[in-house]
Amino acid sequence: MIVGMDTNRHRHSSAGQSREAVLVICAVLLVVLFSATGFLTRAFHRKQATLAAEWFAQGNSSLAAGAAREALDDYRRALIFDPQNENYQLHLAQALAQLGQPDEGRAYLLNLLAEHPGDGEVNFELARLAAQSGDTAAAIRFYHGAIYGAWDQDPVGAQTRARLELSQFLVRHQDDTLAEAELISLAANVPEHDDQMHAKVGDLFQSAGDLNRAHAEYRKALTWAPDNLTAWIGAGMVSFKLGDYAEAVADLDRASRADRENQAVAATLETAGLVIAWDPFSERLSPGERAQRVGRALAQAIHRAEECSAAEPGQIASGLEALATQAKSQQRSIWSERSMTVHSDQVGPAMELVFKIEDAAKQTCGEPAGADAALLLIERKYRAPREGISE
Amino acid sequence: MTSASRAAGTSQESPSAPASIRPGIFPLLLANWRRWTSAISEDHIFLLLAIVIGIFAGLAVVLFRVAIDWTQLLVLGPAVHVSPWRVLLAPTIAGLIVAALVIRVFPRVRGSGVNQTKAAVYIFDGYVPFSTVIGKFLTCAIAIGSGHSLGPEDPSLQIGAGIASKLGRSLKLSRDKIRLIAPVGAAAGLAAAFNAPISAVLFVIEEVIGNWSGGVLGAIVLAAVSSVVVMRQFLGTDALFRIPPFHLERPSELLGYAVLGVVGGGASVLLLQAIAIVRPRLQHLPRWTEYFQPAIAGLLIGFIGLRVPQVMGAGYPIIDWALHDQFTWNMLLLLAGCKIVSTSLSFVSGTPGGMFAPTLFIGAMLGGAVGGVEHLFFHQISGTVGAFALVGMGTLFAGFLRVPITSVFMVIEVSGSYAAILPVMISNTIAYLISRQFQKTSLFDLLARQEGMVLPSVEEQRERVALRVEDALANRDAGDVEPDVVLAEALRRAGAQPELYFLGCEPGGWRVYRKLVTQGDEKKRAGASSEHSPFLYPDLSLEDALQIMRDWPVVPVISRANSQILVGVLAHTDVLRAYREFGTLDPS
Repeated sequence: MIVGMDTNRHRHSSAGQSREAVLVICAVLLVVLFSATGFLTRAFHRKQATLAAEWFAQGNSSLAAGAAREALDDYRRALIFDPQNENYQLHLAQALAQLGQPDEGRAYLLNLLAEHPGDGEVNFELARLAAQSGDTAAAIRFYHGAIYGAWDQDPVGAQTRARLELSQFLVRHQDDTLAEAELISLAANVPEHDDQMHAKVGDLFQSAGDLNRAHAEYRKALTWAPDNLTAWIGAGMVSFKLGDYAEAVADLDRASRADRENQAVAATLETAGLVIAWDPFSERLSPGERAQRVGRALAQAIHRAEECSAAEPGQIASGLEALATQAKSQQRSIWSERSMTVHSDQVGPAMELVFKIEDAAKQTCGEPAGADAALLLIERKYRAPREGISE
Repeated sequence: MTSASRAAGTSQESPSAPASIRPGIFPLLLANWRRWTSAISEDHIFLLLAIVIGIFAGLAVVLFRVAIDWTQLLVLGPAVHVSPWRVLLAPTIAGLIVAALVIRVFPRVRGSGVNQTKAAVYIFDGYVPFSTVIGKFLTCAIAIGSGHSLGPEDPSLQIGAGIASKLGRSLKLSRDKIRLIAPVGAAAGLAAAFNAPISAVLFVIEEVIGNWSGGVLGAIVLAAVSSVVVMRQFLGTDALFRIPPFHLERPSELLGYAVLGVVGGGASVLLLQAIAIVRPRLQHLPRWTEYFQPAIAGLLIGFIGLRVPQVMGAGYPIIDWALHDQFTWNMLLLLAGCKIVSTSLSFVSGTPGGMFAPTLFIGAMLGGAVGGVEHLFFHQISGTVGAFALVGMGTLFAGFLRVPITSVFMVIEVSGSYAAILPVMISNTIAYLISRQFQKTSLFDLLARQEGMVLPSVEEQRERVALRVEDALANRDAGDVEPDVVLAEALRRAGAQPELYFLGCEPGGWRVYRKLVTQGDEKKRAGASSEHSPFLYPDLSLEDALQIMRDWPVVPVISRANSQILVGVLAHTDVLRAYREFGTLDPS
């Protein structure tokens, strides 16, 4: 029994010693393995990072060379070696969007957004994708995320760009109320000397129907850059729409001299000039000049009625003919230039008949051009107070 | 010479040591250490060892993953479009090298790591040779790194099991503990490979050991956690995949995921059938062909890789692309089909490597394809193609590997999101049920039988219907019959002497009493005239009932709601009759 106990004690002791030796070896092994693993993983990660950077640079070069498909492969390869690199993911998403694969790009961006919900750039890219796919609610949400998000570089410029794109998107989708609200904020943050941006904002105000603010923006642009063609054209067009034909002629004339090929500017300039030249209600006209303008208007209206009734025979055309006959008859009596010089109270009734003929002709034969268009604009100016003319 | 004396000797020999302090410290520390180690029980040592195993397994898996990636970089190069010769030659030459290593140097690395871990538990007393660890590491790194369509998870599991077994044996743990230590290491290896400790723990419980016993569960959890901590220290904390967020907008969308479950179940059956049919045929070919089977498989995979290079290797980046909607549905379908073929080729040819990563790959591609097709016809489905790819991974995991619980948690863990839980549960369950319906034997059981082993099937254990006491009771309406009549009937069935037994009701419940008649009986001498039986409840399993009955021929069965109600009297013979009538496990 005693011998047995001794044997057990000896066995226990040798097992204990053996365990201690194993534990010491384990500890040493752990230290060695930790060091070796650390060394190897660091070396491997360095290698991966180098390869990733190389592929990323290659992707940027491919993209700059217009080879978006190759750039895509390069960015993907870069991400294989550095899968968590958010810059690579962002570039891949941008390349995918450029290649017309918004869904593929969106997946990466949503990942990034989940990591950084306040990242301005990611929100901006997502907003662009949502705008591309016509998802208005998402686009507005992401654009706002971009505007109020964090940007690493030039936050003010980036936020202005985001708000500009949002405004353009809203204008395209004819959501004028929201667009105007964004544009007012945008206009408040545009640097004074940035004439290009003022002109752009002016264009957007004009598209959103806020002509007065548009006009103000064009004027700001012209203050800093008197040769800004866009601003001249915009200012002229807005003045024309506001019924300020004298200013429209001045601005559009300047624009037309700088861009003689622009047909729209030329046509609007011509119409504005005609409105000024033909308007019998203008102040400071002599009675003779006023009578002459009424006579010219009557003759133009009669010509328009005859031309239109010949082109579109029918019931309405016969009504036009009757109006033209009435105008001719009156023109020979009390609406003759000599009579009208004396009886200035006949200017109003005579022009009423002119407007009636032009309106009827417009309904029958469509929008007029040249002098007839000018007469319709004179009608609008005559009937409505100036501030109510705006479209 | 003991270590204590060695330590003391060293101190005494040191010329610079202050004589008053140095000589006493080390023996004192050693003595305290020994007192401490002898005081703690083996259970505690086992738990501490689990942490050490986890650390070693984590380190090994990190090195293993780096080895695979580095091999891939060296062999296939860093470019997207690899030269055709490399694509053809790399897996072919790797196949030749791996075959030679497997046949000549590491014969035990062939086959499934899961089954070899199970074999260690049930057959080899926890023994997993350490050469298997080295063999798996080398051969799998070469094979997977060169483009064979296999994954690193199953080898990682076996590497962990091998490390655990070696440590357990070195520390001279008891036989019971050594038997349990391989699954502990397996969980650590798998957890580090997947960066998913919960899934690893569940997988080992669901597939390897099949029960939740407290002692082993604690060790498995500790090992899994420590291995993942080590792995994250070196490879980062990010989940295996980055999943774009998605939301289930309407319950009707679940129908789309149900369809994915059906497709995933079908694909699982297809893959299982391919392995069930082709692998035994290749195994029966002459032995010399084993040198060339992996090379031929590699060549064929190379040919597939010329057109579809994405199928080569484990394919994690490709899964990531699928999760980010980078492929059209027809490309996803092509990738799934090619991966099924290439994985089957690699696996049946005997190339070492795991099936986990290919399963995830095929599942992701199939899921994405199903999602893409559904989007074509039903635009209102809000789940993206990436979401379907994510659910598809779990679906094939459930259908092919037949681990339904693990598959659900695996998707949650690898994605780091609970958003997909409902679709995953629906799709996985359908795939699992379809797979079970059309392929009775699970993958791991199939592989074990092909390798000539009969390992306990955890799936069959799960599905087995346990017979209960109420199933064996001859007279379940004892409440309407006199208790003595019921007892007499039971005694008659048991062939026991009726005059020796009687029934009595105590405050604790009904008992059967046995008269003590033997004069030499110690209890009789102590003054006792009878002894009483234990009692049973109707819902107890017959296995438990037999243990409780011991040598009692009859035992009362009482109600759990009221111990004064006698449900019946169970005889030993009733138990045998029940087993005969209902049948139990059929080992064939």
